[in-house]
Amino acid sequence: MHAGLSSLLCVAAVALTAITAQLASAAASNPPSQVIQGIPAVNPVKQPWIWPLPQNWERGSNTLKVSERIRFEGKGARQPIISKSIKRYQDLMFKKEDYPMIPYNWSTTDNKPSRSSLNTVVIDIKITDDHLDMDTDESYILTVPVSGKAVLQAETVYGALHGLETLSQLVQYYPERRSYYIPNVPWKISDFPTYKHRGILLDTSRHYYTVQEIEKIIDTLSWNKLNVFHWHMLDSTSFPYVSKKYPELAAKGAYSPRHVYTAKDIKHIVQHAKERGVRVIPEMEAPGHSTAWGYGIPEIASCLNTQPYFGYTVQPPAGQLNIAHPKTKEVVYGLINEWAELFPDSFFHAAGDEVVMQCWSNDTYITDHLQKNNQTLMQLFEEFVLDMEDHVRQKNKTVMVWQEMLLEYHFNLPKDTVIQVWIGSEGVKEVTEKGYRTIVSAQNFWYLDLGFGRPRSNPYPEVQGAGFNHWNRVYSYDMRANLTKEEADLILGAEATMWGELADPNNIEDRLWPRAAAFAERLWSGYENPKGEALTSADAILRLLPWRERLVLRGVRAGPLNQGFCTRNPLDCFQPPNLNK
Amino acid sequence: MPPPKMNVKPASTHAYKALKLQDPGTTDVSQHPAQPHGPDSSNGSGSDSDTSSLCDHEVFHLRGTSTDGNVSLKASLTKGLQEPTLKPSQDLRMHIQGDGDDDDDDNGNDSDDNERTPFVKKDADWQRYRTRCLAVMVFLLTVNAVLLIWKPWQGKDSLAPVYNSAVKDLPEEQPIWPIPRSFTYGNQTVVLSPGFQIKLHFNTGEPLSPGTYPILEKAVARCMDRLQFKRNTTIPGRMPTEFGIINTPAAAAAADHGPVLSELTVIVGNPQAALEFGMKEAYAIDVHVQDDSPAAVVLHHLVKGSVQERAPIGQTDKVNATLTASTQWGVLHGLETFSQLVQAVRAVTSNELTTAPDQKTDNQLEIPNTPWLIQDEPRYSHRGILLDTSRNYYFVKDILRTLDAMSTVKLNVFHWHVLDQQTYPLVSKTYPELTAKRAERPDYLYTPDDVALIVQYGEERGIRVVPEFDAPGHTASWGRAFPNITVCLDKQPHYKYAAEPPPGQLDPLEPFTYTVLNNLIQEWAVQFPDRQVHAGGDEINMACWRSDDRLRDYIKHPKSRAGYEKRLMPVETSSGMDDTIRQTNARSIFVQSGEDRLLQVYLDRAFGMYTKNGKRPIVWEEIALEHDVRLPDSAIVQVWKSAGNAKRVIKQGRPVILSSADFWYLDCGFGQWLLGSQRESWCKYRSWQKVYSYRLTDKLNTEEQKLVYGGEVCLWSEQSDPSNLDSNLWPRSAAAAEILWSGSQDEKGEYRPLLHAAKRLVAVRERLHQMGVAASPVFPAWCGKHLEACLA
Repeated sequence: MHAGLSSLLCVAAVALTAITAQLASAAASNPPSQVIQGIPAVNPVKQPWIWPLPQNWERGSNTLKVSERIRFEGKGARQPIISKSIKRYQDLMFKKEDYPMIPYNWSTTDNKPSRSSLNTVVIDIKITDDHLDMDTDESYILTVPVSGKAVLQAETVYGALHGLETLSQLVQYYPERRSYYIPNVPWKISDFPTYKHRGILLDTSRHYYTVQEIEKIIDTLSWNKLNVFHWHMLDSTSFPYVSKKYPELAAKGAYSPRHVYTAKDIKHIVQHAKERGVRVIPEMEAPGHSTAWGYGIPEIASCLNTQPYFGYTVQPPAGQLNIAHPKTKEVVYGLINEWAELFPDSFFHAAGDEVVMQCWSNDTYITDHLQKNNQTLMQLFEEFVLDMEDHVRQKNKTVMVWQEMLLEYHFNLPKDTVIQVWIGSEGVKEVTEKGYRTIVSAQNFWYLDLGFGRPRSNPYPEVQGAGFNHWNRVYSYDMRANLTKEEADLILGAEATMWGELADPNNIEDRLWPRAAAFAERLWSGYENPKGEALTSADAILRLLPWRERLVLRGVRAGPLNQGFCTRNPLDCFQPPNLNK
Repeated sequence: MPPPKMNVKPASTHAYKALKLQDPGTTDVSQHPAQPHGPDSSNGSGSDSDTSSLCDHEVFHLRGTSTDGNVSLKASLTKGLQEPTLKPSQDLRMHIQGDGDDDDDDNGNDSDDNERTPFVKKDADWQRYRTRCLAVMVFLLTVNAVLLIWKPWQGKDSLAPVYNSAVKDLPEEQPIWPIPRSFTYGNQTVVLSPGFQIKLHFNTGEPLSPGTYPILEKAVARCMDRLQFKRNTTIPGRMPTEFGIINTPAAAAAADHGPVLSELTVIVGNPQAALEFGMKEAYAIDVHVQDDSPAAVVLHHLVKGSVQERAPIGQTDKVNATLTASTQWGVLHGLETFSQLVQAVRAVTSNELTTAPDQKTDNQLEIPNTPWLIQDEPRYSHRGILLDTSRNYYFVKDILRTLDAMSTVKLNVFHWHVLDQQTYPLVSKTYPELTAKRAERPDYLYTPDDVALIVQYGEERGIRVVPEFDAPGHTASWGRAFPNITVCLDKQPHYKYAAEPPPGQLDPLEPFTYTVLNNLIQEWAVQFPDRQVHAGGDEINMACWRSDDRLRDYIKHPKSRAGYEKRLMPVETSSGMDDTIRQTNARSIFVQSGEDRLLQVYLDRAFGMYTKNGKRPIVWEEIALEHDVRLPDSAIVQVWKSAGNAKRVIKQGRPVILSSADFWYLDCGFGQWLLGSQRESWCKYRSWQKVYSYRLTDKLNTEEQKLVYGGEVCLWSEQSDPSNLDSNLWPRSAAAAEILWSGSQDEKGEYRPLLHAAKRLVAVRERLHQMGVAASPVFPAWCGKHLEACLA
C-alpha cells in the first residue's frame, strides 16, 4: 500500500517535473535554427557580385574600363520602356563610393585594364510588344567582350530590363583609379527566372503610403528582379480607394481625404511598375476584414464596430460584408468592374481570409435570410464567394485567394484558382495535393513584418517559428520540401509580405531590405543552378553584403546585416562549426 | 507580451522524444558518467517499468545540483533546454556549462555507484529507499510548485497594466510626454496672441540681459520655432488622429472669444548651473486667467515690472503664464512642456484637408483646459540612451538628430559607447595612429571638432555626454596601433577568447599600456567635460589573458607577482574623490583568484587615473558581481543582464544605473548576426509595452531605492546602423523616458497603465516625425483613433 502510494507519488512528481520543464521549453522555444548550408567560400568573389545570381555565367580575367557615356544601340534601345530605363541606368550604373565598406577584391582580375573600354551596348529584343503578364518571357543573354561592345539579347522588353540591371551590377567603382571598371571580362551571362511569380505584398490600409513611397518600393523590387507588387489596399482599418461609383466609401472610410488613392494615382503606379517589369495585382479584401466599407455604406456590413471585438474578428475593428444583402453584391461587383480596368494584370486577388462566423450568425438580417431561403451560413458564404470570384473571371482574370477558402472552408473552387498559402509551410503540401496552383507566403519564413512585438491587435496565430525571420531563415526555406515533382510544379512562385500593423513609411525600407532581396534570389536563381549545384547561404551572404551596400548607395535605407567589422571581414565572423552542436 | 499559448499535448510528445534522443542511456547512469544530466533529461527516462531506478536517478541528480543551490538548479534546467534565456556572452555560457559538468563528475558518479547497486538487487533495502524516494518526491513537488507559480522562464515578462483608472491622465488634446509628476487643469481655453513672447527673468524680477545666457536664449528660440511651426502647419502627419490641428467650427468659434495670452514669463534662479549628475531639473508652470491663486500673486510680485509693461489686449480677462525653475535645465524642460500644452486650431473650417501640404496657413494657437498648474521634476537623475558607434558608424548628423529627439522627451544622458573591439573611431591628438590604423573606412571618424560639436549640442539641450572607454576587454581595436598593449589579438578560434570577433584585450602587465591609457584619459578628460565617465569592464575573457605566457605566470604563481607589478606605473592614490575602496565580495568564501588579481592590477591603475582627472567611473555589472576585486565606493555600476541583479549590486552599497537587457536592449530581436550560427539570438525584440514595463525599483526598500540613479536604453550596433537607427530607437526610447522621468508609479503608488501611455505615445511619434526622426509605428493607424478597441 505504502509502496504503491509512494511510487504513484514518484510518478506524479516526475510527471509534474516533465510538464514544468516542457512548459519552460515551450516558453523558451525558438524557431528552428538558421542553418548556413555548406562551408564559407574562401574567395569573397567566388561568385560574381550580381544579385540575384544569374543562372549561367562565365567570366574571364580581363578588366574593362567603363566609359561614362555608353551608347545604347539597336532597335531595342529605341523601344519606349527601354529608352526610359536606359536613362535611369545611366545614373544607377555610376554610383561613386570613395571608401567602400567592402572594397572589391581586384586581385581576382587582371590588374592591367584592357586598352578598349565599354562604350557600346547593343540591345536586341525579339518581341517589341510590351504586354506584361505571368507568362512573359523574362530571359536575357548578356555578353561583355574585351572589345567593349556589349550585346544584350532578350525575347521581350522585360527580359532586357533585367539584363540592364545585371549589366549595372557588373560595374564596379575603383577608388584608387577614380573610375569605373568591369572586372573579369569577357562575360557571358544567360539568365532566366526559376519562378514566374515573384512578389511583395504591401498593406496600405493599416498604414498609408504616398504614391511616391510606393513607387520607390517598386523601383527596389525591380532591382532585385522581383516582378509582382501585390497591393493589399483595403482592410478593416481604412478604405483608401476613391471609387467613381461609390465615392462615399473613401470619403468616410479613409483615414482622411489625404489618405486616399484615386484612379489617377493607381494608373500612375501601374504605369510606373510596368516600366520596371513589375505587375500590380490588386487584392479586394472581402468578405472578411471589411469594417471600413461599412463607414460609407453601413447596410453592406455586419457586426460593424461591435464592441468588444473579441469573437467577431481576429483584429479590431469588427466588421464583415453582409453577404445576404443585395446591395453588398452590387457594391462589390461595382468595385471589381472599376479595378478590372484600372489594374490591367490578368491576376486578381479575391482574398477570403480570416472570416469569423459569429459576426454573421449574430446578425439578424443574415439569420432571417438563411431561414427564409432554408440555407446554412456556410452555403450562403460559399455562394457569395463563388459568385464574387465568377464575376472576377468574367473580366478575364485569374482568381487568387487566400488558403482558408480551400483548406478551412473547403469551398468548391474551380481548379484554375490560385491559392496563396500563408498560415504555415505545411499548407503548400495540402494545396498542391489537391491539384491547385499555389503562391507561397508561409508566415514562418516569408512574413517580413513579424517579430516586433505584438500589437494587442495582432492576428497571427501561434506558428512555430513565426517570429522575426532572419535573412538566412528567409533564404534557407525550401518551398518544395515534402512535395512530389508534380506538386512542386504547381508552385507558381511566392510573395514575401509586409503587413501594416507595425510598418509604415518610416521603417518599411529597413524592414524589407535586405531580407526581401534574400527572398528574391531564391525565386529567381532557385535552389540549384542549371548544373545541379546547390546555391548555399554561405556563398550568398558574401554577395548579399555588398548588395546591401549597393542598395544603400542607391538611396534605399536597407538595414545592416552585421557590424562593420563583419561586413568587411565576413570570413572572420562565421560561427565556428563546433559550437553548433 | 502575453504569455505564450502552450499547446500541451504535441509539445509534450515532442519534448519527450527530444529527451529520449538526447539521452538514450539514462536507465543506466553509471555507464555514462560524463553525460550531463538536467532534471528534464532524467524525466525522459521516466518509463513506468523502471520506477525504482528512476527514483534513484533523481537522488543522483539532486546531489549533483544541490551544492550550488538555486543557481545551479536553474543552470542545469536551462542547460537541458539548450538555449539559456539570458546568456549574453559565450564566456558566461561556457562557465555555466562547465559548472554543471563538474557537479556531475564529482558528486553524481560516486554516490550513484555506491547506492545504486544494492537498490536494484536487494528488495530488503526497499524501505530505506522508499523513505528517501518519498523525501525526494516531496522536494520535487515543492520545487515544481514553486517553479509553476514563480515561472522563472517568463517571470520578467509581465507587462504594465493595460488599464488603471486610479491614475490621472492628461486631457486628450494635450498629450505631454513624459507625463508631469503633478498637475491640475480646468476647462477654459486661452488663446495665444499673434505677438506672443517668452521673456526671461531672474527670481528677483530682474530681466536676464540679452546675449549673456545663450543656452536659455536658444531654448526660447527653439520653443518659438515650434510654436511657429504649429501656426503654419497644414496637417500634422500621416495619422489623422494627432495632436495639433482641430477642424471643428465649434472649437474655432469658442477660441475667438477666449482670453488672450501674450507672454510666458520665465523665472529662473540660477541660469548657469552646472550640467552634471543630480542637477536640479524641476520646474513649475502656471497658466491661469484671473489673479486669484496665491501662487500667482507671489509670481506676480516677482515679475511686477513685466506685468505692467504688458499691453492691454482688448479682452477683459487677463492671463498669466509663468514658468519657474531654479536652474536653466528646469527651464529647458518647462519650455518643452509648455510647447506641448499649446494646440493649433484652424481658424477657418470647411473641408480644408484637401489643400496642398505646402500651402501656408495661419492656425490659432490655444491652451485648452486652463487653469493649468504643473509641478514637475524627474523621478531619476540619470536618464539616458547608449549608442554604440564602434560596431557600426553613425554620422555626426545622426547623433545630433538623436540628441534633438532626446530633449523632447527629457532624456539627459547620451552614453556614447565610442570604442570597442571592432573599430577605434575617436581621433586622438596624442596617438593619431589609433585611428590611422583602423581597419574600416578612413572617413568614419570622430574628430575633436566633431566631439566638441556633439558635447556642445548636448549641453544646449540639457544632455550630458558620458563617454565610454570600454576596457580592458573589447579592446582589439587599440591593438591595431599598439600590438604590444593587447594580448590574444585576432587569436583563433575567436569564440574562446572574446565574446565577439576579433579577440583582443589590454595587457595589464605591460607598462606601456598605462602610458597610453594615462595619456588618453588626460585627453578624454578635457574633451568630455562631464564628471562621470564609463570605464567599461564588461565581458573580460580570462582565457585571453591566460593565453599569454607572462600573464599565465602571474596568475598561476603568486610569488612571481611582485616582480611584474614592480615594473608598472604605481597606483595613483591622490584621488580627489575621498573614496573608500571595498571588496566586491562576489565570492567571499574564496580567496581572490589569480585572474581577478590580474584584473585588480589594471583596475587600480585605471581608476586611479580617472579619479585623478576628476572623473567618477561607471562600470558594467560584471566588475561588481562576477569578479572579486576592490572597487572605489564612488564607482557607479551599470546593470545590463538580469533586472534582478540591481538588488545584488545595491546590497554591496553601490549605486546603479539600470539597463537590463530583458527590457531595455533595443538592438535585440534581429536574429543571430554571427554568420552561420545555428543558435537563435540570445534576446528577443522588446516591444514598447515591454520597455514601458521595466520597474526599476521593484523589490527594493526605500533606502535601497535611493541607490538607483536611473537607467539607460541601449542600442548596440551589431545589427544597427544609420539606416535603422531611428526606427530602432524611437518611439521605444520615449517609453523608457517616461519611466525614468515620471516613474512607473504615480504619486499614490499606482502603476501607470499602457492605455494612457499609448494615447500619448502616438503624439510623441508625430512630434518626432516633424523633427525628421523616422519613428516606427506603435500600432495600426486605426488604433490611434480607437485606442480602447485595440488594447486587450
